[in-house]
Amino acid sequence: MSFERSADLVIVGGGPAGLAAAAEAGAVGLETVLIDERASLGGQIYKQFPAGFRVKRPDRLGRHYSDGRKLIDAAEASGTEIMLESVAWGIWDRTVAVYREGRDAGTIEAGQILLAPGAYDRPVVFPGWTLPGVISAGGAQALVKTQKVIPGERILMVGSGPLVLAFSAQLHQLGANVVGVVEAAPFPRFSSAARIGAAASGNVRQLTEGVGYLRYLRSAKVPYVYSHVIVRAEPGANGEVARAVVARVGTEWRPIGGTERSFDVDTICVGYGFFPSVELSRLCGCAHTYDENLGGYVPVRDADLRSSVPGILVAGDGAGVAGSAVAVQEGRLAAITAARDSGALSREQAATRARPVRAKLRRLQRFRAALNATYAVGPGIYDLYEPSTVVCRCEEVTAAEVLENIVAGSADPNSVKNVTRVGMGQCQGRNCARQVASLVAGKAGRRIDDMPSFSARPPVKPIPVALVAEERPEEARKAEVG
Amino acid sequence: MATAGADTTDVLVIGGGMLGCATAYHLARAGVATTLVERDEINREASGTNAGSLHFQIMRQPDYSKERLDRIRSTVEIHAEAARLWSTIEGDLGCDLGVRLGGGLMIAETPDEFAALQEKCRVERSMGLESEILTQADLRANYPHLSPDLLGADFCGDEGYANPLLVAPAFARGALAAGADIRLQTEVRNIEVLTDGRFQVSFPDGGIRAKRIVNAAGTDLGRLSGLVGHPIKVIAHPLQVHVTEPWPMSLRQLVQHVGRRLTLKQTQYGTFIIGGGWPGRFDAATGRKDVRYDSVLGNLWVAAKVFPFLNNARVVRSWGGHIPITADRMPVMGELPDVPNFFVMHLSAGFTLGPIAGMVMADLVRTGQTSLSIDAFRPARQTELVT
Repeated sequence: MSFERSADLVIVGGGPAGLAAAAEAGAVGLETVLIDERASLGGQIYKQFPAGFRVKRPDRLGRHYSDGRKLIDAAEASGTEIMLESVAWGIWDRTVAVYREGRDAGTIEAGQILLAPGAYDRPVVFPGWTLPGVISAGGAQALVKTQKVIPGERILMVGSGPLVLAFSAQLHQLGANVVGVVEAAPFPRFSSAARIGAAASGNVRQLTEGVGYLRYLRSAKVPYVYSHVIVRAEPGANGEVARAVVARVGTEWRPIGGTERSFDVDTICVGYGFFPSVELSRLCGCAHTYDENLGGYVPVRDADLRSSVPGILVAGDGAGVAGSAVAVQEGRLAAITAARDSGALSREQAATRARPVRAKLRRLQRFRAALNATYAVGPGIYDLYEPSTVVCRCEEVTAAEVLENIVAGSADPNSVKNVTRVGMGQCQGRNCARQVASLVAGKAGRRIDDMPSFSARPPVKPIPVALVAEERPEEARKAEVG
Repeated sequence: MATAGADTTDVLVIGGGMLGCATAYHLARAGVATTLVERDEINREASGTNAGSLHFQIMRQPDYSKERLDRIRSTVEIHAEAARLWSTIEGDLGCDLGVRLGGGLMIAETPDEFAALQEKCRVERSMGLESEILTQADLRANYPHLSPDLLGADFCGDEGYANPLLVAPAFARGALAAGADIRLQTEVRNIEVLTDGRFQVSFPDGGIRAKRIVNAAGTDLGRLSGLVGHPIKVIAHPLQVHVTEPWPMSLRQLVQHVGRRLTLKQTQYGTFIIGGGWPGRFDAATGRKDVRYDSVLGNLWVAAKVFPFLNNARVVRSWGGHIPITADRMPVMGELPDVPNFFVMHLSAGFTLGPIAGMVMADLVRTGQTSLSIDAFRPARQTELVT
């Protein structure tokens, strides 16, 4: 069974950016469809409880929950048609190909497309990173948030940036045994604290939240180590992680010999930031630029959030990781741009509507820039592997196998992908692409931002043959050649 | 032995696809100073983007006129040699190339198609090709995963498949080990024939002087031959291929369809490769080869119709490729008529013949002789077809 339909605006992604865009698009009268692959709205950050859970006392779930709920309620009330458990697996010009898990597949012809795909945890390759018990901070947070499950009994948090801080405090508040927090950035100097403080005007909530978490962890006597990164995870007798070894690093995040220390753990949460999900924007042919602090390759956008491809806009973390507050405002702005470009709003109406949104964005982005400068990712993050370390966990390809198969001075990760299968598995390279690019760049004496990406190819998520297959005319009988 | 980066060489091979790499491999192993230049990366075009089928049956013909039969007959010998070579190639190159020679089934769904298969099989057997007709009962008894609705098949035991991602790179590595020089990201801009008969070849940054040239440049073949006065027409047909996640082994044969676009096989990794030449999309502005939405749907539909197990599978990746073919769809192999020491090679739909063609071309370049006849593939035929 297949469907064919159309809409003024198709929004891909039901996180903060997509939800805010849906509310705004509905308010200005665009016929809008929002697609999300999960069973409920909210994205990663405002992930809702699964079916079977019922919220009786929303007031006890905190401001975070109510922020998310408000965004979802506004989107649902906006007249936007919401398609859940729906995967946008490819985009051809303005046609979005969708399948609905267990149901059907089809296309939506879009006047315009807003990509709001969000971001995913930055995978970090170090010896032992694939051991059971080593999990991403975002994954752990999802467990805690939606299932109220604490992932282990001796948890070490390693990573960098505000999320590591916030999540460590939240975990501890829920009664978890957090044996330590290992932050890669140095102890905030006066200059960076002042920079963040200065940028915080109008961002008081973000700043006070951060200070509150820090104070909490200190009073709870959770060891908080600065300028250290994870260098190794070691298994116990049961094959699961039992020890985490960390080491002091300099500004480039390169471990300094003789500074190792270890923690006895059963869980390591790894949170060195996020990668934007650029699979769809790359598939659409949008121009991208490289910025390690925004998470790597990010789509190039104009001031109104249009990509380089007409009719394709991008908002939120999928355009560079900047957090949910920025994503909400970007979602609004992108919807206003879409309304203007489709003629639903006049130029003047759009400018008026966008003015307060732009003001909020400017303020938030100042704060974000100060944070980014403080928590900038060091290039040493790519050099934590040993030759025997698995780089591609889907296809179980080691760093040594990648390096041995870079031949004839090749400076293209696609070549080594083809011969080793690195990046060819279920995750389609999301986890290993950058580490492979770094290995190829290193061998070629080039920089990682000078490397081509793995080729963008549909489907961006695996597609069920049974749902998608459909008889199509064969334009000519089979040619004489095969 | 070619010195890396040197400005002279004996043989310059242009093109880092399977043909260029295989030729360079055999030349270097025979001690010829060989340099291979590739405008992009090894194996990035047709050699690496096809579905890896090893076809030895003949394709269904609209008729079996004398002219068609002669053409088919002219390729029988090289196909027989190719079949022999694929059965030993992994040992020769000392690596796993995913070669599986479990035979190939060309299946029929309708009575017309089945009749066409039977006629085709008679022609094959008359030419010494060992194929046989399987009935619906044979298929149901021996290939339980195929749709029970199929009426029959033409089976050829030599057929199978190999992993196209591995073959050209294996030849390239072998060529490097034997002393060839391989230069990537090196596009040929101009070729000048010097008074002493040698060639001065220029790249965007530099150049090389070569005694002999092997033009194995795929879609760029015509332009490069044109530089020495013999343009050859090569048309690239964009197509697409799909791969599923891995499953336990249930298919050991190459499956193709006599009346529809389909090739299907299950690789050593358990993944299913679904191809058959459904049209892809080529963006001339960016050079990007993409898949087409309707071709994805149609190709998967045909595949699942023939092999219903695929209804359990998911496609993890699709890619666009192309198949560069000559005007008469025949291979081209030989020296240009009045440009001595300039050799051209191209195989329309050539994955199956790639390794044998590299070996034959290396012989021709080194000795002027070949062990099997390639008369029918002489480039003069193609240059006549340009206009």
